[in-house]
Amino acid sequence: MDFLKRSMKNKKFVFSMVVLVPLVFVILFGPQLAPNDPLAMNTSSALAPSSSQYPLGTDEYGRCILSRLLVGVRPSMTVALFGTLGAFAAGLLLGIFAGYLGGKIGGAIMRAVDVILCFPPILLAMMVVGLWGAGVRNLTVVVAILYTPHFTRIAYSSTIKVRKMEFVENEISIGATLNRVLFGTIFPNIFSPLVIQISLTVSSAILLESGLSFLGLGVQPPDPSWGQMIGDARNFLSVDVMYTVWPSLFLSLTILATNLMGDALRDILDPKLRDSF
Amino acid sequence: MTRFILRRSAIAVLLLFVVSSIVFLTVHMMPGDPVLLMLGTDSNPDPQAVEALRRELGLDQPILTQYANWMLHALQGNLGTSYSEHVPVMQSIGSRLPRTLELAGVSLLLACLIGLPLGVLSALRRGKFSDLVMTTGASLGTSIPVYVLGYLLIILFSLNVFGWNIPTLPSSGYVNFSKSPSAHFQRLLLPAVALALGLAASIMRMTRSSMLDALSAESVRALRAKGLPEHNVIIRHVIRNAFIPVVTVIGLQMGNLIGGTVLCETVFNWPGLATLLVKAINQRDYPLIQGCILVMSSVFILTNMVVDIIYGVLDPRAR
Repeated sequence: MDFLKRSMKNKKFVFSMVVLVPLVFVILFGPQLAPNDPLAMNTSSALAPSSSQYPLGTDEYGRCILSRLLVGVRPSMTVALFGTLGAFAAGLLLGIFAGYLGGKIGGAIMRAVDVILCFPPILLAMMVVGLWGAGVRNLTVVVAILYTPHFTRIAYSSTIKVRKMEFVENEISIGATLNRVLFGTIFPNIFSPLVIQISLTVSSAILLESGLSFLGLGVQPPDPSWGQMIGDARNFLSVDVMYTVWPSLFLSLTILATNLMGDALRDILDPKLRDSF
Repeated sequence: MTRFILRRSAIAVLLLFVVSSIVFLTVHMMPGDPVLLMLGTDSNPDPQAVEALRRELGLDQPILTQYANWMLHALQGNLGTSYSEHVPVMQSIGSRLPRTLELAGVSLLLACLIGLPLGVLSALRRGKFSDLVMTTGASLGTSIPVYVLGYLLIILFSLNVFGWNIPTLPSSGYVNFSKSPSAHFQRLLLPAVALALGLAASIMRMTRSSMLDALSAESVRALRAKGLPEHNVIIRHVIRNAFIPVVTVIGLQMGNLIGGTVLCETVFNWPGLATLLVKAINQRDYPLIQGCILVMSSVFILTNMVVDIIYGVLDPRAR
């Protein structure tokens, strides 16, 4: 209850919920909410302004922009959420083991993971997607690999800190199993920095996925995605400004809300850092 | 100090080696046969032609031999020949790299010029309305993708949709500096600003929080107590300590800056390395993809090395 009370007092948290709750609804029921078929072309009404039939107008093929926005959120979010989940799981396992074992083996695991950080993220993603092909599955794997080091580092450094504490030493000395020590005792104590990192990673992953789709390397047409719509709208900027504005607005709001959620969680879960941002 | 720089350079060389090996492996592990791709989509190519091309490209050698050859050539600055343009990869990259570096460098400079003063200002006005405006702006700046910012700038300053009484700026293209410096900078301005704003927001947030840390230090209270004027306390003591952690954030953001050039160059048709890479990926031009990724990652590793060395100079504890 304390957590909930503190959350509702946090303005950033409230704002991000105002955006994220409807977003989750759209992710789940987007296709049912869409007023038109997002793939139906109608060249006679191409680049139409908003009307009662097409609330946000149409694109260059006469497809309903609102319907495409409502449906196009799903691939981006699938990539971002499942990719982050994969990175979280891999990073947690690697980091908690490396931190618990310490010494040379722990150091070796950390160095191996650090190699991924030698590349600017979008470049590594472009290389993999360019060579192995785009699509939601490949993008998810790329996101999971790219953000594993962030979780590994956090899990590693927090585990090292917790590992030396007396209650952990005690538990080991009375003969608790490794499984129990790692996931029963250490995990709950390193949980909050990881949760903060999850929301930061989701927003980076949305940025990354939409950037790749914008370049034409992400979700493949005719399936819509927000980044891809912004990329398609590029050629019509001087004719129909709103075609670019709508997906840009939706995308930016989503990223803003996810970022604010991260800030809010940091304020709520990590009192030491409170007020520093 | 010399030892620190030498050690940091040695790490950078090692990283360059690891990165080039990964790039080589990723390209060679990809599904599909590049030789068949080069000969076109013909489903039944002449087996002799396939064999000849395979030998010419050295793809008939064992992978370790290929790797050794590629590494030896790369060390001599030879990254192979582009499949699609039939010119050395190094030549294509060489003509475009300076433009990307120019865009990234000018953006970094702009980002520091915007982010550092605003960060200091908002820390000094903490909790006031102007602080709220600045931190909200920074949240927006870190959330809006660079291409959305780019289009926003085009809509406002190039298409001038609100009919402001300002000279409109060109939205795309590139003019050589030697041909016309003013036209060159007119075309550089919008992409550089679009790229700089996100980075400026991160720098501002970090400057603000590290200023707040420095302001609450014991030494600051002592300085005030001995009667040092407030502006002297801030300028000579607080800011000097506060800027050191900001250097790290700038280093951490270099990857996003280099990634941002990819998107920014596409928005503004800036003919740099990033647009070359996107073209290479669309044409499945493997030597060119390999070369572009390698060069951009090297730039990333080297800038990080420079940032680390600067950090070591500023803060001897980090050496």
